[in-house]
Amino acid sequence: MINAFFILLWLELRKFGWTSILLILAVGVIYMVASSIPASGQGTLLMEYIIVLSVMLLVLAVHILVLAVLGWSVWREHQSGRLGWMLSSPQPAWLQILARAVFGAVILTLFNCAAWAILSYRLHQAGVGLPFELGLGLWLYLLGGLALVGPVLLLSLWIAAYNPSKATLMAFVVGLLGMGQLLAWGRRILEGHLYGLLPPWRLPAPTFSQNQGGPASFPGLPSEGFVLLAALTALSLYLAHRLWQEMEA
Amino acid sequence: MPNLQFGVLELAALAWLAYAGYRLWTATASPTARWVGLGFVVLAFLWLGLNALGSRADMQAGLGPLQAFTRLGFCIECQGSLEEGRKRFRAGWMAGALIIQTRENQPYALDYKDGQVWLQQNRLEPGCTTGYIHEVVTLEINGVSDLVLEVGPGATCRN
Repeated sequence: MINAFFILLWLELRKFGWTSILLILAVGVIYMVASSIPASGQGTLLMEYIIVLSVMLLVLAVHILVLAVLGWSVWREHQSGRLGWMLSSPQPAWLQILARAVFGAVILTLFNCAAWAILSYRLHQAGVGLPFELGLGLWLYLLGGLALVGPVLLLSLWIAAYNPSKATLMAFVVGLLGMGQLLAWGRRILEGHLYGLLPPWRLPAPTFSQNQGGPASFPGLPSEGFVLLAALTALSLYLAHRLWQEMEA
Repeated sequence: MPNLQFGVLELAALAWLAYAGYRLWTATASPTARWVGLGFVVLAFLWLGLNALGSRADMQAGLGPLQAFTRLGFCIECQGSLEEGRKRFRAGWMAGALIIQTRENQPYALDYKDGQVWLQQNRLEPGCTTGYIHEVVTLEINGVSDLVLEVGPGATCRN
C-alpha cells in the first residue's frame, strides 16, 4: 500500500514537469519584486504595502495556476482514457485521491514557504513588524493546502462525471458558482449561529514577545474559519472519493 | 415581496440555472455527481435570489458620514458597522493602512493598545486620541491590536 502510494506520487510529479519550472521562475520574480521594498526609514508604509500587495497577487496567481493544472490533469486523464487504465488498477479510490491531495498540498507548501520567507525577510529588513510565524499560522489554517486541493479534486472529478454528455462546461460554471457560495454560506452560518458555541481555542499563530520589533500581543487567528475549512475539506475529499468509486463501477 | 429587483439579466440567469439543473441531473450516470450538481444549483439560486432581494441597498448604506473607506493590508477579526450615524471600525489585529474620505469636517476617536499608528505622518500614542478629520486622510497602522475607530457626530473611545 505504501509502495503504491509513492508510485502514484511519482506519477503526479512526472505530469507536473513544466509547471514546476514555472514555479521556480515565479519564486525568482517574487524575489525581485520583494527586493524593491525600500529600506527602513526610506519609504512610506503605504508604498511597502503596495509592493506586498503585488507579491500577494502573484502568489494568488500561482495558486490558481497550480490548482488549475491539478484539476486539469484529473479531467484530462478521464478524457484520454488514462484514468480508465488507473481505475482498472487494483488501487483503492481513497489511495488515488489521497496521493493527488498530498501531492498538491506538498507543492503548494514548498512554494509558499519560499514566498513567505522572501517576503517576511525583506519586510523585517524594512522594519515592518509583520509577525514572522504568521505564514505558518495561515498555512495551518488552510490545513497545509489541503483546503485548496480538496475542493479542486472534487470539482474536476465532478466535471469528469459529465464527460460523455457534453455538459462539462455547464458543470464547470455551476461548480465554480456553487463552490464560492458554499464558502460564503458556511461563513454566514458560522458567524450567525455557531460562533458562540466554539471554544476560545486559537491556532498556534503565536504571541511574539520574544520577537524583537514585532507586535507584542498578536491575538492569534480565530478558530471558526478553521473549523469551517476542515469540515468543507473533509466533505470534498469524501465526495471526490465517492465519485471516483462510482466512475470505476 | 418588498424590494424585489428582478432585471432581465437576473431572469436570464435564473432560466439558465434551471436548465443547468435539469442537464446536470440527467446527464450523468453517477448518483453522487447528480446530488453534488443539485446542491451547487440550489446554492447559486439562493445567491441570485438574495441579490435580487435588495442586498445592494445594504452595501451603500454602510458608510454613514464617510464618502469612502478603504482598507489595505492584513487584518484579523475586522468589522465595520454603522451605529447611530457614526462609522465604527474594529480590528483585533491589523498591519496596513486605512484611507478615509469624509463629506465634511468630522470628529473621530481612535483607541488602540500595542503597535504604532500614524495619522498623516503624525505618530499617535497608544490609548485614546480624538480630533477632526477633513477630506482625505491616511492612517498607517503597524502591527496594532484592539483598534477601535469611530468617525462621525459624537465619536467617542469605547472598546
